[in-house]
Order: sequence, then C-alpha cells, then structure tokens
Amino acid sequence: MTAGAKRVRVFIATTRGAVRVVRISAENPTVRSALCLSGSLAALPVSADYDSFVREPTGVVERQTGHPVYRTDLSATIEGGESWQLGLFVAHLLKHEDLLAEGDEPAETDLLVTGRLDRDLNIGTVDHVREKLERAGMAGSGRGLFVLPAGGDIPDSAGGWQVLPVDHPGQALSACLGTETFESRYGALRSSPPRGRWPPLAGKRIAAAAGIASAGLMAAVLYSSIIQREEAAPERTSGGAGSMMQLEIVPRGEQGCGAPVVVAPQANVFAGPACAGIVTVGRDGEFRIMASVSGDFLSYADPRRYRRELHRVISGGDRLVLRIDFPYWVRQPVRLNVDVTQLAMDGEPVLSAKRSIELRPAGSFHF
Amino acid sequence: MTGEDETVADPLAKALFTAASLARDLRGATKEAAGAICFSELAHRLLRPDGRGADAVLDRAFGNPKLAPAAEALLRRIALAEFPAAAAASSGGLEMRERDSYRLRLATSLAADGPTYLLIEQAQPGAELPRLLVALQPGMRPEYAVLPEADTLPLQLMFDADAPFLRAFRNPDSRLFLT
Repeated sequence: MTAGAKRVRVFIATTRGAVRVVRISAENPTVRSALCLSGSLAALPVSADYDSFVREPTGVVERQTGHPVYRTDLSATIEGGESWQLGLFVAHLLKHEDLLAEGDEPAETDLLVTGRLDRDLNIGTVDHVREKLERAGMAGSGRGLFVLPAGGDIPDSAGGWQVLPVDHPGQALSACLGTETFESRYGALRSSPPRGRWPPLAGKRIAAAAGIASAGLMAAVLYSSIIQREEAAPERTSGGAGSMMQLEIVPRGEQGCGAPVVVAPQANVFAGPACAGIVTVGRDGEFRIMASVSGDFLSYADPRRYRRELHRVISGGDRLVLRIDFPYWVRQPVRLNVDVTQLAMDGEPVLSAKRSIELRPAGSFHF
Repeated sequence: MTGEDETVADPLAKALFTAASLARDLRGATKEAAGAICFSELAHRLLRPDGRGADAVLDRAFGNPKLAPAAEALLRRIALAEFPAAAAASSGGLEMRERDSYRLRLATSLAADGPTYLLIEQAQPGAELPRLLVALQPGMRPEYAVLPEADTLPLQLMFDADAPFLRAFRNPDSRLFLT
C-alpha cells in the first residue's frame, strides 16, 4: 500500500443499485478483458464491450495504463448499456496509481459514477440519473461523491452523496484526491487527449449545482496550473543524437511505477525493470515522434500495441510528449527505438534524431 | 352363480381391480423408461446446452455404455468441429488444439491464483458460433463447457486452474467436439 495514499472506493451507478468495483487485475495480454461477478469465473455479458473499451485502438484504458487486458470483479451484475464506462475508467486510473480501495481495504472517499466516455475522453450523457442516485443507498465512507455528466440531468445531492457534474474524468480524480495528488499522479493524463480536445474544466453546471462550488474551484485551479506548467516549462535538451529529444525511463519498483529517470544521451542500456519510456520534444515546430518496443515477445504479442506515433505542431514553449509502455511481463531484454523527425511546412523531413536503448529487466519483476 | 361371478358382477370390486392393474402397469412403464433418453432431447441439449438439466441428460447419454456410441455418433454428426486425440508435443498436456475453422487455446492468468482462460478462436473465415464444447476422455466421465452467447468469435471462458474440464482438454487422448 502506498504510504499516505487516499484510497478511493468506486461504485458504478445503475438502476438496480450501486455496483462496486471490487478488484482490478492485470491479465495475460493474449486473452480478453472480462467483467466478472466477484468470486465467480463467469464473465458478464458486457465483457465484450469492456474489452473494446480497454484495448487499443478502440479502447482508452490501455492508452492510459499501458496494459491491454484486465479482469475486473464487480459486486453485482451490469446488464448492458455504456454508463459504466466513466466509472471503470476512473477505477482503472486509480488502480494504476495504487489508489483504488479493493476488497476490504478502507477508503477515504466513495465515488458513485455514471457516464459514457468516448475515445477523446469526452463524457457523454446517460439516462435515469435520478433513479440511479435513489437506488444507490447511503455513501459508506465519510465522503461520497456522485460523479455524473455535466451535460445531462443533474439531481440534488442525497443519501450522503455530493453531486459532482464533470466534463472530463480528471475532474472526478482531482475532486476526490485533491489537486496536489492529482498533479503528481496523473500528469500523463494531460498529454493523452488529442491537442485542443481538453474541455473546460469549470462549467455553468458546476457553478449551479449545490455543494459543487469547491470542486469547481479546485478544477479551475487545476486547469490554470496545467496551462502555467506548459507555458513555464523550460526547454529540455540533450546532446548528441538526442539533441531534439529527451528520453526518460519510468522504472518499476516494489510499489509499482516510479518517477521517470532521464537517460543520458550516450547511454544505450537501461538495467532493471521498467514500466514505460517517455520521449519529450521541447522545440517549436512540427514534429513526428515514432517509438516502438522490439524483442522476441513480439512473436506472440500484437506488435501494434508496442508501436506509437505522435505528430503535432508545437509552439509557445509547449512540449510534445509521447509515452510508450513496456511489456513488463517479459523477462528477456527488449529494445526501445525512438525516431524524432522535424518536418518542414511541405511535410518533408528537415532534421531527425534516433535513439535505441536496450532494456534489461535483470530478472526482477513486481506485478 | 359362482362366487367369482359375483365378484365380477360387483361394480366396486371391478373398478378397484382395474385401478390396481393400471397402477401396476404405470409403475412398470415408469421404471422401464427411467434410463431412456429421447433422441431429440439429446440433440437439443447438444445444440442448446444452457438450461436446467442439460448436464444430467448429457451425463446419462455419455455415461451409459449402451447409449454412449449412439450419443457419440449423434455428437459427431452435429458437431461444427471435431478435435481428435493427439500426441502431446511434450511431456506436458496440450495447451492448444486447432481443427477446421477453429482454434482452442488455453492461457494462464498473470495472477498467481488467477483463472485459466480457454479461448475459442476463428482459425479460418466462415467459422460459425458454437454453443458447447464436449471433451470425451477414454474411460472417464465426459466434460462439457457451455459457451457464452456472443455475436462474434473469439469466445472466452475462465476456469479454476484445477478444473476437471482443463484436465480433459490437456489430456492428449481426449477428443473434443464443438457444437
């Protein structure tokens, strides 16, 4: 358990009552994600939809967590629909940072969630919101937040659940974890949606809803802090072949993924288990970053999952950041290859830089 | 008139005799029919295995040495694919079987106490959606896995690591049928 962590219990709001996310387990990448009734091995009928929701290219969970397959235990069945998407997405993000209260673990906050989520992390409205809140019962922990789409019907707070309309999943996380924790744990979430797709975090609905003023203020502060960080971030450069880019490796330790470590320009080996690589370009211009992970594991894993590409124009001191996750179950060395190209206005390459790092897990793994 | 004639002539005695005789006949017929399985019922259970009593019908059919050959013949006739007994590639059991349009594959969980997954995948285009996987092992009880309803392949099932069905699947002498 992470020291000082604020664990959060997540419930999916349904018309039959609140369904708790009991446990999330990373699974063998060669199988399909499944939603199960807790304590049972029978997959729920929505499992196929859940698999599509998790796995890239259709899904959003793999993009954030770097892992394509999960088995998730729920306290009761979910018959169908898509209103479970936002709740499970938030649960996955919490689990990824070891902040999800699973099993009998105590929680500081209960999140009751309903809402659809598209690939750009835009939240879609759902039906029967009032009915779902009525049937959820009382919030179990000291603090209960009912997270729902800001664009739909918004009921009054009830049953110990404080209503929190949101436009983006980050608002739910920042409201229950606090801005500081959100910033430190979910910084990568900022760079994931396509550029310009971040919706405004504080909307009219938030201001209008009872008891939501504080959450709206927190979201507004969070949003401005993101902007400031992007504007104030100094350009990071490294010499040699990687002069256009900075390469960082996220090591894997006992407590999961650690803080990124900058890889020196001349280094071509990273020893020890690692979660992901982060490529950052800090110059103005149009850039294309291509990163891939190669190794024997590709003979049984889908290579598309270990190849990522980002193509954007950056200006005003912003940075282009691409994160690529490693197959952490692989015990043999793998290689991270990165290719950064600056493009002219006609799309032709102007400058390019390549880096190739061998990752040696050294036989020590922590799942 | 004899006493016997008098008995026959008594309407009450005649009704009692008829009722007792009918009850005896019905008891005998019920006893005789207890082990029988209607052919259409067996076919129905092989094609639509969900529902109460499906296991019992299949057990009775494949567990009875007299009925098993007929049941197997029916199974072979209606199966979408038959996976014959196969030599194991190593000292361990089989983890994958492929036949016609289907591939059956086992995959272990990343979790130490996690389930074992069985995937029914499409090996070639045109595979129909199966509903039941039957494993017939020589000299042992057959094992069945009712497959989830879905619109497309692959289908996925989860088993405890020591589930009897997995032992049957891995047994190289087992023959498997998808219906």
